[in-house]
Amino acid sequence: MWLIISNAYIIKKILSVFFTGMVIKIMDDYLDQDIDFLQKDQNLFTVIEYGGLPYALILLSLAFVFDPVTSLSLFLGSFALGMAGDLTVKMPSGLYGYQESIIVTALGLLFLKINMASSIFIMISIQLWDDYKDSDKDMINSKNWAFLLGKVECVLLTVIFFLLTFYLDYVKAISSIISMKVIEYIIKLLLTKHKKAHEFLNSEGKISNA
Amino acid sequence: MHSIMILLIIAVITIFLLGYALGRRAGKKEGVTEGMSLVPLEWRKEMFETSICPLCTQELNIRTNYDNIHNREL
Repeated sequence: MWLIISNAYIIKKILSVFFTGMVIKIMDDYLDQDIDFLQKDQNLFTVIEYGGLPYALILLSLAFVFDPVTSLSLFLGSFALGMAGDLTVKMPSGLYGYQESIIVTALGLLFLKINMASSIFIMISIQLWDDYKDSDKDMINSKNWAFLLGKVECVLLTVIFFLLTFYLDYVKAISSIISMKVIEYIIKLLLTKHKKAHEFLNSEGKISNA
Repeated sequence: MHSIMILLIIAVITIFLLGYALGRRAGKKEGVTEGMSLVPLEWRKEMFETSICPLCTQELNIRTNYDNIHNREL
């Protein structure tokens, strides 16, 4: 595990993690856009609109250029985790969410082995941390792990899964956490800029209030 | 060396998590049972102090000395 690895390899891996993180965020916002609209939460699709899919594909391609194994494992990990919660919902494929999740995880472990395991662990860690942060906002949410397990349990599990990822692949663990924060910041900037532009156009009467 | 240390930290946190989670759940159950046993006493005390039934907010019968605390004439 503690091999001496070249700086180029680390930088490639960090960039790959960052771009895959962007893709995962776009995918997450795409799936949640109806809920976010109802809850009046900020969503990336209010800014990028129909550009979401091409941007996601471009970013995923870039991530693949830098490190295909890392980006593929992270993407499959996020997909498997996102689908795991849907026990009773049938997907367009005709399978239930958890069935898709099991298939994707099995395929990932078969082809990517330990990389897939570390990716799933870091995804679980990020998901738990996200749930912990949102626990005050949506306390009575059956899908919030901080509500289901308890706040302290949620934080401790976050730490455990992060350390497991760190044990398996420390570059991925650290770069994922940093990427998460950077992506959050970029999206916040984008949405703020968009909101200001929208307000400006609104005050100038260039867009209708309807 | 580092790998062993990380595994050791993971093991320690896991044990702490198990203890905390089990303790919290057991404590919650115990708390509910204890609270349920204390509520009647608290209500009784409150009723004697205020002369108002905490359940139905009805005042004690002050005109006739009934055995029952509630005013049956109402």
